[in-house]
Amino acid sequence: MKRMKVLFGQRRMMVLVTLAVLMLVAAALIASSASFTSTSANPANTFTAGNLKHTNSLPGAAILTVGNNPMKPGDTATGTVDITNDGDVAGVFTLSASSLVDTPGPLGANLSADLYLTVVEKDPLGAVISTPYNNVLLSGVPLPTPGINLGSFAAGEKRTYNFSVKFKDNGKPVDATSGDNRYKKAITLIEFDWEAITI
Amino acid sequence: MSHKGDPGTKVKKAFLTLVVLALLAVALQSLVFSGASFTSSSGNPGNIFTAGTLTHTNSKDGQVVITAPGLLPGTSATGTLTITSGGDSPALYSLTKASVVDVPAAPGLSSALTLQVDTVPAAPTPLFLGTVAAFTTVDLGVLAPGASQQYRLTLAFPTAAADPALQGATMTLGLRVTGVTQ
Repeated sequence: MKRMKVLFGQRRMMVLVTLAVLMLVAAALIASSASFTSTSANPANTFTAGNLKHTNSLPGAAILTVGNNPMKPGDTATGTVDITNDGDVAGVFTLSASSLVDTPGPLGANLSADLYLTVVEKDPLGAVISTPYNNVLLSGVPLPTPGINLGSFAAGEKRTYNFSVKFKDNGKPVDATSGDNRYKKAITLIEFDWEAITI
Repeated sequence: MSHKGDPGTKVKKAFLTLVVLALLAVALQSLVFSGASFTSSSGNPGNIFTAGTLTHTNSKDGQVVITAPGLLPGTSATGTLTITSGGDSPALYSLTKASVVDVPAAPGLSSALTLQVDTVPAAPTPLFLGTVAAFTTVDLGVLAPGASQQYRLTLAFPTAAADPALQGATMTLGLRVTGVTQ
């Protein structure tokens, strides 16, 4: 039995030694091998964030104002504004109204109750393309959102919108304090807002 | 029965890890693609709409324009009034019969008396000429803000309309001036 163990111990040692020698040989072979290589690269992959911005031909200013010509029933105030997507990506534009403020006249009526807003998009030749607001009671215009979807403006696209607000003529008042006479000296103030968002 | 060291257990663990990673990737993707946008906004504030006003003054407001006691056939009486337009815009003015009271009611003096309305100075054609009974309203013309116009009213008792039954009859005529923006 003891002899058997000795024999096995010697054989194991021999196996280990043989393996070690083989590993050294293999390592030498690998380390000394010569190979062809080929490489390529794709550098300068650039990612630039787009820029959505627009210009308003009347920035921060009123589109419609009657100034020194106060309105009487039947009168219409008009104005035009150009909206240009001068960013480098397309955007969906919306138009809404906000900050409606009525200052009633001496007889207490709010003028916005009889002012009607129409917004028409026209091409350079004056042909109507769309009518975002068509004779909408000013006091009923969505405030302040969601507004009216004007569609997608491509980068660089300009659109022209004609605004008009009409003071409805309700006919001859029956007396000095009724009908349209109630609006005398009333004032309405409103803001129009444009917003674009990338698609 | 499985043990920690079993190959089956390792496979299960690896599978579970892959599932969790896949779910995390999906969640991250949805976060990345939901709600990230560029926006651009502008505003046009201060759109002001002011209602104008219309006023006028009547030089005889609340007063009698013509008084003609003892009017006889073939005679007449006149009176004048001046309208001054105020407010912000031109207005068309009119003179309207607001009321008429005949005593006696029949025969009524209003059917005999004629009313003539002229501008001052008078135009070749009067604004109105007819019996008071036939008179309803007459346009006085358009007056710009601040403009004034004088009008002459003439009540006449035509000889042809003389009727003994009208002796002692009275007529009270109410008139109203109205301006309407143009």
